[in-house]
Amino acid sequence: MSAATLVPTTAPDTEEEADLRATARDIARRCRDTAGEDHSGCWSALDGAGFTQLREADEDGSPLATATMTAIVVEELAGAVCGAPLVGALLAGELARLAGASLDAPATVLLTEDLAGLTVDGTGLAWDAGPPLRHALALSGHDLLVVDLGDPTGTQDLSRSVARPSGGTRRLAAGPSADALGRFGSFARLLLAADLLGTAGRLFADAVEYAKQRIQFGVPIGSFQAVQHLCGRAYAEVEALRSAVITAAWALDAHAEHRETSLVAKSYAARTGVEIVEHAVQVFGGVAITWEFPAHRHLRRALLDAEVFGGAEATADALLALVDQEATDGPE
Amino acid sequence: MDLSESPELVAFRDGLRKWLRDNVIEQGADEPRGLFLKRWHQVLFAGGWVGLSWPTEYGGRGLSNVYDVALNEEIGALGAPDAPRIGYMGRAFLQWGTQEQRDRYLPRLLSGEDYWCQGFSEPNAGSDLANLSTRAERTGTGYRITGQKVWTSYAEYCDFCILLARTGESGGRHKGVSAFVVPMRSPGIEVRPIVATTGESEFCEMFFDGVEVPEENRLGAEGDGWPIAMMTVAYERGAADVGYLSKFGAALGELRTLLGDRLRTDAAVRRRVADLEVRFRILTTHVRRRLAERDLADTLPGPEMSVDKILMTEVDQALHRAAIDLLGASAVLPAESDAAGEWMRRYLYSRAASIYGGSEQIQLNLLAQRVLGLPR
Repeated sequence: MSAATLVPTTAPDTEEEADLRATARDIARRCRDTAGEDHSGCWSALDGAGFTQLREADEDGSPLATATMTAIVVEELAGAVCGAPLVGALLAGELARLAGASLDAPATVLLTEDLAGLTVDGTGLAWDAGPPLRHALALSGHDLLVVDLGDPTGTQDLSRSVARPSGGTRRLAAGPSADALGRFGSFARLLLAADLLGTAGRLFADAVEYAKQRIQFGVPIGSFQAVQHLCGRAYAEVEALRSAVITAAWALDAHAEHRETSLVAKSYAARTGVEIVEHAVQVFGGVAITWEFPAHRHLRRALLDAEVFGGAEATADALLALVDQEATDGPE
Repeated sequence: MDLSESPELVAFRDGLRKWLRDNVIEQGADEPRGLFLKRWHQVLFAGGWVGLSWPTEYGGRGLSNVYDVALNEEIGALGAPDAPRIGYMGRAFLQWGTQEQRDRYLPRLLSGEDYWCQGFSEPNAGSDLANLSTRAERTGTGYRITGQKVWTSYAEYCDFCILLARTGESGGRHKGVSAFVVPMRSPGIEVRPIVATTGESEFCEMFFDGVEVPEENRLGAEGDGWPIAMMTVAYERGAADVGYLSKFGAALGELRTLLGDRLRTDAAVRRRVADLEVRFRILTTHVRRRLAERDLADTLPGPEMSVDKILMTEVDQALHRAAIDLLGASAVLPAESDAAGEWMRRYLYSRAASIYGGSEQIQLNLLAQRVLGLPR
């Protein structure tokens, strides 16, 4: 199976985005070919490319990379189900920047026990806390804290670990404003949606290639209409999800309606991301239910991604609440 | 991708909103829907809101494609009648038409003075369109057309038809198909409206018995009919190209209003509507991306538009099914002819969404074979 297979899309990258995507894809390809269970090399490569600091502040306080560029990197690495804690690090970078602070060492973020959002009382669970991360940013009342983390433990998502605070805590800065926290939530939903797009889209692309090569009844299984329709439907979902991710990223970059667009993206990603992986598993058939084959890693990642920063129903409900509010308040 | 709205587009929306508040018309009690939509098209055109992305030389506004999304959204937000959905039929003239044909037909198509229909499907050429058997035989000065078409929207009110007919050998599949402009008042045409499950008759049968058309009415060269048809249906699959975004937006708003407090007090109702909201936003988001791409790359729509048709159908059917489920007895008890049966009519119409314009299964075939490259 080639790591270079992609589903066709009409969505264009700018030249800068295409360069970034190529670099990220190269790191993802090496991860897929060689990493196994140890992703420290992936982290070094990501760090070396500056990808772990994309959302930290430049001299005037704006992020080093746009949300669009950041989502591209996340999508590509998720395609390899890379175990380096990139998303955790990007979220911590964003949270620190929004609080006007900077990080001494890379960190992840501390979430509530149900993973639905940032903790507000300094307790909870650090998600995407694999090595080399030893700290998490945590909101506690009006403060933003750096908490030390205990040893990471595995989850059903084989690519990502969680960790609990181990006791050591220091105040980093005052917590971000309510408005900034709103932006953080949108950014977090965007990254999770991009992670689902990458995880699901790449496995699906591989499934399509497999359907062209796997012979049964003397012909490629991809020539059967039942298989074609499975693939056609999954493709429509991949492209719709891509539209949602592109739009949510743009809304953050352009200071447009980022809450709505990110809720749409996360809700749709949580539902269809998992479905697309399930479709791909069906196309691969028996091979996809073996431990050795990576399909279950994609499925596990998608299922946990779906919960982080709000599941499909919770985010849809939050969207409806926004619509209600607009209907009550009238258009802006 | 830059999805920002320019100050000009924002001003356009403001102007459109104000204009719509003063100019929306209502369907007359005895006015057939087809004639009402034609009248609305003409009112919209007079206001300057039709043909936004069309060249100015044909009466369009020469604006970018995203203006069509804005038009759809504003009409939908206000619950105004659907945006005109026939503009897509003229697109083929821009690529295949002669200058004379464009000058003659396009301005009146955009203004709504002429109403157009699409003569593609036949009794034995539905999903298998390439099996069409309507013939156009050469005469000294043009062609003589004989055959039968079906599922033609509003044919009884139309002035012109874009008709596919076989000029090559019978059984030639995609080869030997040509496209013609047929004036609907030509001798030898009989139109029979079909009463649909909604009780209304949008779709018609058309019979052509030796209908004479001059050679200048052929669109493109002989044998260009298939690519012309494929390009036309690609546009037909875009929710903004056919005005459906406006329809769904208006219906969803209306449903929310009808549900009122149940939306806040009944968790099951709320969950269902929240799901619809996400699906509708996904369609809007996707359509906007498509049109932004079309503006950016200056490309014509292709087989990827089947994604759009699938998303459009999903919203259409999920929305109207949910409406019937949630409105319950109030939707299904009124007499068939009662105005209160409107949601039931809309629901029944939505069941056609996965059949017309290329069935759901044909869209999936196209994505699998033409986009993903799976073997035929």
